[in-house]
Amino acid sequence: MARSSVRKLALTAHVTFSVGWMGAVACFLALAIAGLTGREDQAVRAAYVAMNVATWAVILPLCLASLLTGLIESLLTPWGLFRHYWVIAKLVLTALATIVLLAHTQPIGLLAHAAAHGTLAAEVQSVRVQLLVDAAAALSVLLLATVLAIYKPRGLTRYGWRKQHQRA
Amino acid sequence: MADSSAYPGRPRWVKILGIITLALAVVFVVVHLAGGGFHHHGHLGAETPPATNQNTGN
Repeated sequence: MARSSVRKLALTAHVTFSVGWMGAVACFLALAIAGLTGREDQAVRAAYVAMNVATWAVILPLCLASLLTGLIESLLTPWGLFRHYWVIAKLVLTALATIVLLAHTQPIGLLAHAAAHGTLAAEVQSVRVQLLVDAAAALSVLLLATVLAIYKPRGLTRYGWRKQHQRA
Repeated sequence: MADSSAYPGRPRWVKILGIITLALAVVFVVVHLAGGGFHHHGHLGAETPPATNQNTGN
């Protein structure tokens, strides 16, 4: 009974953090589009400053929380961490998204600093486009992870297969 | 006779997803390392670095 409650709590936390992460990335994408296509200088600058705040205050904490609660949940449920391919695929996608996000915190911060203190030179155009493309890619990866979590496509790993036959 | 406990192998969707993920990861790394990367934009067009900004009010 107690174990079931813990499982439900872990599932609730994981779904909440994951959905929040996806929503925050969608907002980041909207700001990246606004920053790239905006005509008013103040609005463009504000978009890049807001992207930096959103990254540190919302996206990064939700990303790490989603990864952590996902790991905890997999260990608490019969799905396990290495028994089913969909769980591994989801873990790999989340880990890759986390690494890419961590790699982007510095350029996002530098871009926000440039927007707040100077002019957005033409040479940063490629970085602005890159952030937009990466945000769209991140959103696609998170959508794919959601599809995997809901459909749970079949496929046992060799380890999962062995464990299943040991129990039988 | 086939052994019923023999491992059936990796499903097709895993192979397809693995190939797509690997290809996209390679594209991502190549794009970021070859010119379009962020490492070439250390200053990102800022007119004044934070350290020199302190006396602007005088």
